[in-house]
Amino acid sequence: MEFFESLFTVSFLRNALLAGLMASIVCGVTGSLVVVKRISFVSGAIAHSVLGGIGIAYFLNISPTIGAFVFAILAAILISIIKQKKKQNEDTVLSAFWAVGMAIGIIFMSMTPGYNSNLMSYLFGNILLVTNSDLWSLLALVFVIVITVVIFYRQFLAMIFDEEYARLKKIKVNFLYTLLLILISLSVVILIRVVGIILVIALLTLPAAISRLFNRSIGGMMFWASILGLVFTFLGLWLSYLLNLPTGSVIIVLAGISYIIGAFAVKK
Amino acid sequence: MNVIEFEDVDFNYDNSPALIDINFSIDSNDFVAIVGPNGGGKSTLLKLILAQLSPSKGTISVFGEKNYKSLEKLGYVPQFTTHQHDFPLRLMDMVLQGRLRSNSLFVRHSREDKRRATEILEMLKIGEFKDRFLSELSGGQRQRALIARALIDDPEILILDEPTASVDISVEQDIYDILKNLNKNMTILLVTHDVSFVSKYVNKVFCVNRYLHAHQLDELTDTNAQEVYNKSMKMIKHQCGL
Repeated sequence: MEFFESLFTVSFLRNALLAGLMASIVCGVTGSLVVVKRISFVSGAIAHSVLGGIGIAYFLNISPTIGAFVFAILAAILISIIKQKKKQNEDTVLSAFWAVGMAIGIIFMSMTPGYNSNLMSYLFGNILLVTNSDLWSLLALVFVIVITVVIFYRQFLAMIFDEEYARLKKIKVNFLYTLLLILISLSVVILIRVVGIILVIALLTLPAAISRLFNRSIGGMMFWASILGLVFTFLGLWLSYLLNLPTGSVIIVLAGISYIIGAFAVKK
Repeated sequence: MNVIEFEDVDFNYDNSPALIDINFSIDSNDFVAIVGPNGGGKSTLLKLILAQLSPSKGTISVFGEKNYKSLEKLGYVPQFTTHQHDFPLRLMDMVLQGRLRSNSLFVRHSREDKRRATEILEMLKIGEFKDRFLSELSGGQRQRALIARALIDDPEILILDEPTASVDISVEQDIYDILKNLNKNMTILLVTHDVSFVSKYVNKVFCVNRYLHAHQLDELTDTNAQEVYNKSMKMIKHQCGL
């Protein structure tokens, strides 16, 4: 009971819960698009390359969230351009983004005087460190993501379902793909606050993947993935508080177990 | 009236010739079957018509217009095998994608588009399934759904890539009957493997194997002489390398 009272009285717990709520909306909306388009590997590459931006931001002594934001957008645009050129093996390029981004981050962090322990909180997240100003910027990002998906909803679906046909209908497929990757970037920046770089793909894809097992429409998928995301972050926060465990990891383990149970339950 | 015309068209993929010296014309009431071995250039031919590729040499005119790029009067029906069968989309919404444009924003479709989609689904006899999801449809229903998606944009030429590749024989018959009926108002062009089966429906057969041989079937069916017919089929199959 102490936990529930603390949610309202202790500001860092309340902020954590609000950040979790925003992360859940992102899990549902962007996550569903990632799952049906089957680009979780692309999302992983964007997420990991973000560490480069965070490292440089540390070195320059500016806000790491800004560094993450800039790198995520850059990675999204570059990956989209490389995919359109088709000259390179996409798989190899993504792996390179994945690893090189992290390497840049580690190099810049090591060059920053007074090496700090914050690296761990970016790799594995620390939802308990979310500040009031963080919440406002997260809210702005969620707003941008939801509005963009609503505006381009039908075009996104057409592009994801049948790219060749969408192109014949003069739908700007390359633009939409880049836009989708940018939405993923924004989502990654939000989710990193909750579960960190390493665990981001799991939170982006697992709730949507579970939701897909029980929903046939994309709208239903988005709604229930958001609800599941909220349940996981809330339970994760509670359990980690009770057992004194890292929150992000508890959230992901909960989501993973639920996915396995869900997949087996639906198969029968 | 000629709706599609190829004059001395060559197409090369990185210097290896895929199509050589292609000459043909398609009339507005034609029903054409394109046959030929895999890798013979059938898909390349479709992509040239759909302006997804440009010829290395020669000219292509569609509706008398060179470099026809607006594609508005061309309906295209791809193979369903390239799509995710369990994609979370209702039949109706999939068909309505045929009306999308680059300026179609927000979630809802217009009432007029929905009315038109219902009409076409009824005509193709899949109206009762309009609220079903793609995962709940049979192969034949999915194929008709793709045809409906092309028809909703009122094309004058309908181009189909192996529309009966994944359906059984009775459904195949149904689909060809539908196409025969549509042929009254539009030109139909389809890629197929089964030249004997379609010969009952089409009036032209194009054999594509880097070169293109056009065969007129009208005279054949008129003679009604089985022997002549069989002989011609044999010759067509031979020339097509089938």
